[in-house]
Amino acid sequence: MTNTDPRSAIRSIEFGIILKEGEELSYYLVPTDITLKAEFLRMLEQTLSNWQKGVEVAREYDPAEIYPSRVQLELPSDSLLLGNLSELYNAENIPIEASRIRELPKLFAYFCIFRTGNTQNGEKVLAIRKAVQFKGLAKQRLVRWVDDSLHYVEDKFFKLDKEFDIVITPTRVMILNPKSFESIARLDDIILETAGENLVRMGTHVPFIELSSLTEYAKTHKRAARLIASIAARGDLAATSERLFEEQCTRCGVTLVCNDGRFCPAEKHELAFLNVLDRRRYVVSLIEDVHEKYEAASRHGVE
Amino acid sequence: MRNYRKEGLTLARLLMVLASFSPLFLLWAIRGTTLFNKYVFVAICGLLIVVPNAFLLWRIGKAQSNSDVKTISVAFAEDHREHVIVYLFAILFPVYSLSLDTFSNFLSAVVALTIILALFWCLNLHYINIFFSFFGYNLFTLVPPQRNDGISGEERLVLITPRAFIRKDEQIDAVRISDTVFFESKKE
Repeated sequence: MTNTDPRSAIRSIEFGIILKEGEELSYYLVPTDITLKAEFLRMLEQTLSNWQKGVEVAREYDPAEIYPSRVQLELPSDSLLLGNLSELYNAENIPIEASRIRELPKLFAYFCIFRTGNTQNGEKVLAIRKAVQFKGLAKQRLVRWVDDSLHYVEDKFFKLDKEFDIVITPTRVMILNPKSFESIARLDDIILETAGENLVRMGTHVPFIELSSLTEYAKTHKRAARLIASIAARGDLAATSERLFEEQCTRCGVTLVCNDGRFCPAEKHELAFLNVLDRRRYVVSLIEDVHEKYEAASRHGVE
Repeated sequence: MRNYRKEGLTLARLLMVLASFSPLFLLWAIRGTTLFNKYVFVAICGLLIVVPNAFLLWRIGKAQSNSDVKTISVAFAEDHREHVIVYLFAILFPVYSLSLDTFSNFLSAVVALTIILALFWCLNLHYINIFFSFFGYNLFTLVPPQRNDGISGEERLVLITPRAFIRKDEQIDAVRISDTVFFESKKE
């Protein structure tokens, strides 16, 4: 893998759509002319420019974080959180079916594959946008100015967006719209499926906590599963101090149960317990003898 | 992923099948018929040769100017240059041997040809054209890698290319003639 500049020497551009029927997604390439390809290239350039604007180093996407609708984030391209997107990036010979573009109500997202280099050693960049305007405008009624009066335009029109939501290169994933990323990658499904594995990983790094009671809980609670994914991805989990963790739980009002010398959360304290481990539950005392407890849906480290 | 497809370029594929009948129309024009005026019959045969082949050339040029390029991953390729021979001798030349000198003979020849046309059109066999062979192009069926990810295409594609062979696990950029037939031009 190399650090590819997604705009360098683009060899070809393929455009595709993702249709959603019930829970099933289907993927098709749709041929486009050269003017549309130029527009897709402009969208890619705009996306990369917006992604870099005002941020020296983009923050890594954290599944437990609640983000605003637009923020610059990144992920390594081998992250397990990519789910569907990883499969789409690695897919080959996606079928061409131009007529599928007529199935507009099912349109879920559209994507472009930009290929660079030569055929044998080239790399590709996948850019994806959740279909909102592209789908929405086709339902609207348009008029145009003809012979000094307005006329209905009976053709179907698509309005392309100005930028993509996500750009995947061989080394990293650039995210501009985290909600679209979560929806297209089907993040909740991945996180619920991998909650058990993440708990096992957490357990090996923090031997003084008992996590088996959380397995069933995490399968049905998306928020808990997201916190577990976030905690399991921490590189410093093994350094967690048993004494400090116990003190923090006491301060934050999280009741622990001790089983054979290992801590597990009391019933109805599961989420709070996970929030402590993910540094999202804390106490502030700015008034004498008053300890205000908070949970941070969104937080980032400061110097 | 759905295992059926809606094949596009309906009229284009029909014209491409018609273009593949060019040797038959050429032979019919030479042989002639007593049913019609000689020049009218030659003109009709000439049109049936020129129009579909001109369309095929236009289609390739249009795909090239639109950069309508697909990168195809090939697990392995099957060399099918013999398809042209089989097509000529097993299908077209038997139709040529039919007499055109009475109205009923002429009608039966046209109906036979229409059945072949419809069959080749429905079966997506629009890639056969002797002019490709004359200009040094070969026919390959490209078998895609089996990825079973629900996204990658599992359908075999046809490539018309000047290459003599295609290596295993190769990637090829080719312009789209139809959704399943691709064309690779000679490199400068």
